[in-house]
Amino acid sequence: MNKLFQILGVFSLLLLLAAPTGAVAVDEATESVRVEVNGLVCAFCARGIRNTFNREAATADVLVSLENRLVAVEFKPGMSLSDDEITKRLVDSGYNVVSIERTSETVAAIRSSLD
Amino acid sequence: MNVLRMGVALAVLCCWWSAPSEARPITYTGGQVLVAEAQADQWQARYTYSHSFRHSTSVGYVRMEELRNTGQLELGYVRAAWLARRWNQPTSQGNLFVWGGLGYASTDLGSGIGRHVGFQADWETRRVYTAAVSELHDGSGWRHRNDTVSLGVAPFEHDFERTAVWLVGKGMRTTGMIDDKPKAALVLRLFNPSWWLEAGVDSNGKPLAFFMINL
Repeated sequence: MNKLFQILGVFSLLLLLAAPTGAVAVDEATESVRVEVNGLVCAFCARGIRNTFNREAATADVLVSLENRLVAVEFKPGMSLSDDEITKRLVDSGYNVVSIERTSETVAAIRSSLD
Repeated sequence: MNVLRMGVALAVLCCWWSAPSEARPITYTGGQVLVAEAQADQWQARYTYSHSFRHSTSVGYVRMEELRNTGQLELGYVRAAWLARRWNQPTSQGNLFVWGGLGYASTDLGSGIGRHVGFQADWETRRVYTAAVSELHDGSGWRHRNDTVSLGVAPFEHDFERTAVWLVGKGMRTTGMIDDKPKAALVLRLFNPSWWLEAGVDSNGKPLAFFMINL
């Protein structure tokens, strides 16, 4: 019986140790893209970018920054858009894509870093 | 460098060419805007649906008064607009739009088919805005052309969620008016992703206003 308690104790300890690892895993599951875009000069006109990505089922959050020539899109867990799909949506919105960078940052974190 | 040349060319154009506002005739895929504009002797209203960033369809109404030959003109029209060329640069964007349509016009001389064509060339950064717009309204026994050139300066660079503030100087002329001499105007322009508002005064001391809303 004591051996059973010892095994349960070790198992519980392992679970506790695993808990922080699980939290990190949630962060790592966040997938966003930072897209450098040419032509971003007018807020009224750039509204289409936000609307386009907000219509996507994969989108969790969108950031448009004229100052940084940046469009950032955060995806829902387990969902994403390919670079080609992102490029197509931005080109169809009337802009040119310079680069696409994948990141584990949330859009909220990207927004904070720009403030 | 091409952008610089285009900006200089538009600025030069401003010097010799002189009244529709230069809000873009196309927005983005699925975009819908309502536009209302008032000047000394003319009013416009328009609904535009953008099928893509290159094409849009509008239903519009123009009313002009103080016309030399026809007294006044009312034109209801349907038009299509096309983005012929766009130049996207890191800190600027230039555009060339053209449009045309048909409608039904009524003047003091009678009623009939009216035609409506125009173009807009614009170039902007977040601090400088230039545009040249020309619209021709044409029908049986009458023809009026609105030309506008604009040069705007923003006191600060706006960002996406902030309201942009611009001071815009305009040169305007409408042919066929009793007074068809070129006029100047100064307007304050405010816009954000949802709405666009301009208000100012022309060189005859008459007010002008423009409002556009993203639906």
